[in-house]
Amino acid sequence: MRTWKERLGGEMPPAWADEIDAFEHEMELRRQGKLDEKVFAETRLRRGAYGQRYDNGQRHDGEQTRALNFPCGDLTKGPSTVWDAPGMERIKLPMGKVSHRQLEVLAEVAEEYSDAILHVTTRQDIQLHFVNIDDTPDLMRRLAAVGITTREACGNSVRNVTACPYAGVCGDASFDVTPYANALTFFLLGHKDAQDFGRKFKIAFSGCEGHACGLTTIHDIGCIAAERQEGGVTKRGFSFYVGGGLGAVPHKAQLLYEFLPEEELLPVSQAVCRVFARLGEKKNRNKARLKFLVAKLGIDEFRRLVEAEREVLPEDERWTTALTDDPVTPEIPTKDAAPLEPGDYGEGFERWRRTNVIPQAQPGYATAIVRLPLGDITSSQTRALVDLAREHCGDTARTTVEQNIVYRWIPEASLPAFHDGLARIGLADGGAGTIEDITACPGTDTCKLGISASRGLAGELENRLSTKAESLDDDVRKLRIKASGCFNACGQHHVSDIGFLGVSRNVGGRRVSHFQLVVGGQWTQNGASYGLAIGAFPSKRIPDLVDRLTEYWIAERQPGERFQDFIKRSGRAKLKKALDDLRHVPAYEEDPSFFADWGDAREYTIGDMGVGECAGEVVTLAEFGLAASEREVFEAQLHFDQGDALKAATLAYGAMLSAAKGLIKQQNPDISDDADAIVREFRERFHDTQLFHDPYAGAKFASYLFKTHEEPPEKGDGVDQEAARRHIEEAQLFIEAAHACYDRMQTQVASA
Amino acid sequence: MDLQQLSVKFFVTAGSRVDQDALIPVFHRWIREQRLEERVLVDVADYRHVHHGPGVMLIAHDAHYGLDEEDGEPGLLYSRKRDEVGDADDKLRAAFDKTLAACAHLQGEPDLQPLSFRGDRALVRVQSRLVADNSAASFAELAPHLEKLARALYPESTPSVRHVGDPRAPLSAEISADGDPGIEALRARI
Ligand code: SF4
Repeated sequence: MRTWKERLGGEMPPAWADEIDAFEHEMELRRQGKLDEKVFAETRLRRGAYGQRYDNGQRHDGEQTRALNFPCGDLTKGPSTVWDAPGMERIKLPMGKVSHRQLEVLAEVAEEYSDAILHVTTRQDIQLHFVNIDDTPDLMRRLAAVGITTREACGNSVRNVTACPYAGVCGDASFDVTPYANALTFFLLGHKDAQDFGRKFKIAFSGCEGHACGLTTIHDIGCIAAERQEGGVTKRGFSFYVGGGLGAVPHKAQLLYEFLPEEELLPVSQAVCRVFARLGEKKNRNKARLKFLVAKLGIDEFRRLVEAEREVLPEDERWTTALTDDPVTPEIPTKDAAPLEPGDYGEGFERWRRTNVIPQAQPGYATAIVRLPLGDITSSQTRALVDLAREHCGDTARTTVEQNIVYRWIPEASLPAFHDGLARIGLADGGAGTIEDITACPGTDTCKLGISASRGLAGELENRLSTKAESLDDDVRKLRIKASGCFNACGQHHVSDIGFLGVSRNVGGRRVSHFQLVVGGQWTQNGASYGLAIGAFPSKRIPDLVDRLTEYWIAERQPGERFQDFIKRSGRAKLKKALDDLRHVPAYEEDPSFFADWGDAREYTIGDMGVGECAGEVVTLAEFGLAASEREVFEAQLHFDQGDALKAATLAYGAMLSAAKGLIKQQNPDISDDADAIVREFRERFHDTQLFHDPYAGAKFASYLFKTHEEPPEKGDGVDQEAARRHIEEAQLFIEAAHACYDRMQTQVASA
Repeated sequence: MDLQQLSVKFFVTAGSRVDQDALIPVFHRWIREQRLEERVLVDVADYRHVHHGPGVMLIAHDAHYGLDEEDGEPGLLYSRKRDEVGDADDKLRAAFDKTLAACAHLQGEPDLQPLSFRGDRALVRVQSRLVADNSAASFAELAPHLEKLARALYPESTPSVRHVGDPRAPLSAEISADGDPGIEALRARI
């Protein structure tokens, strides 16, 4: 039977195929114990292969914590992370953009490697859960063959670049931000200046100030499309924000440039990355996001540093070519525009149209939001949805930060047929962007850091609110609810009208799941303001709390008073008082249901919380270089075994260069890939200073690199198996010496 | 044909009640009691909110179980995730054995009653598209193995095996028989 690698060989971009092979080789090295678990963990995260709850090999079954005895035994894929334990694969969809064919393949891989569910995240990614790491290389290959990479979906890297799902079809946008977001995505993907961060880095684009679609305020870099007249010409650019973020300590992004011309988008973003890599916190991950650096330095000093960095950046032609050479394929509507004929299409259709359909800037076309409950859709639903879209829509869909899917370019006349098709697969629910369309992070369902069942709560609220949505006051219906399973705020609760974040409380000696209530956050204007924390309430009282709070607002508001203004006017103390009785937890004997979380029959515990991989481990550039050298020498062995002596010797030489480059990067992060430059700097910094010298063998191991560099394998008279074997052995010794050198450097730093 | 990642589904009988809510504590207890013959029972996944979705699932290292509601036809779905190379007939028998065992356990759960499974119809899938696509040619390869198994399961009737499903779905086939021998009888014949 042919493997996926053999089958898809010609269909994947060669660079992506090589990266996946490299990851597979790193997996093999880890299995053999030749790659440190911390380094492998960060490598894995940078391929989007994330941990999941219980992957430390333990689970509380409601009575006691038991070991999950996976067949892999002691093998780990990261610190306290068992190899065989199911994990999550995060799949980046830049701008949430996904073609019909890509969706079909996502449905396939979800069916085969996961649980046949595609989960849309609050950052427009798709996540698959319960994936075994052994399946990930093939999963990645199948995605790569249709143009999707999982590279840098997790870890301390530039995460998925998000953008308004209505970019290009919205009448309020200055212009379509898609090509710019796309250019920045692929410019920074794997960019050397974005490899040494202390934490993750998130970028978002928005077409306008007023709506929430891009949520630029909560991102490390937020770009809002702007236009300016210059000499009678309309010039495109961006209001450019930096240092926003949610989490336990939310920060609003600050304006770095009122108007950054389009040609400066890539270089200035690169300069921001360099400042972050150089000055951002690396040791304390709780302080390592860009927002802390911007706050510490102040926006003016940060701007000065970015500008100084921008000044000295070597010119890169991609700064401009990426904006023109990589245009996003224009969407092609399936059908011509046509207005909706007047008629009776039924109450279900009208209700859906009111909330889920947005007219496009292009007359006769509309955009429809397909509501996915809790962001989930099955593989079969996905295929049926693709069929429907092929019949009526443009050739791509966009996922949204509210965990839905948006279809564009639907002729208005086709909306009833599109709605009927959705109804046949159970996806015709109206209420998109209303109180019944709740956003929730994975929480305790699958997240290692989850404290409370945010999805369980959201499911319960959706059930209750959808049954009475029609009878709710119109203003109440327009409110948004968002829930996060812990303070990390992945559910974006800070920018919702009614937000929840999971916490736990001890009641009578037992743990009880609670949610902290955060109210009055502003979703519009790109998440303009963050909500007010009111206090923690037992999970099981949250549905009553939502009723109480909304009724209280309706009863007490002044004419025309918005929810946010009402919250501000009322203040924390008054709101707390109005809700205070809902804090009560009855005794266990009286009502044990309070001591279990939503959708979970086990008695509640926080014992299952693990160590998060949100940020991954901070792995230095030297450690990455050394890991790469290990992989290359492993690949050299494989080619040696296949009798390809030249390739084996070349890879062995490359392995030495990688190890040397890794060491140099500790002192000069800008070292280039040029072999001459690497060897020259290695000689100056490590050989001449004797830093690389072995206590017994002196300069012997360094000489292997110098000798091979003088006569590289591809330039000699040919390499036979014996010579290749020698090259591999020398490379192995060189790498060992590099490890020893790095250890000495670390010891020196520690003692200094 | 190397049958990787088989799934088998037995459908509920007409008078059954499919109570996904009640299934949650049952699956949690099964994990506690190590009720199924699986190497590691990991967790319970809740997809009650998904229309015609996989329902509440019991996630194990080698396979997933759940009261699946695809196409509005609820049934116990056993879905294998990890496989070794092996004999097709052995793998089919093993998958049916596990599915039927789970059906029998569910039928015995007091909190889920009334719940029973039809023994006269089963859906079989080879989920790995590396092994097969859902084409007539792939079905032709699979059919003899299914027919052999069907003859063993339904010696008293002439069972039929037919190719079903969307061409983009995993290779899918349905086995059906004239009479319903019941889940326990089928288990005995495996
Ligand atoms: S908010 Fe907390 S529980 Fe939710 S996904 Fe993020 S880290 Fe996990």
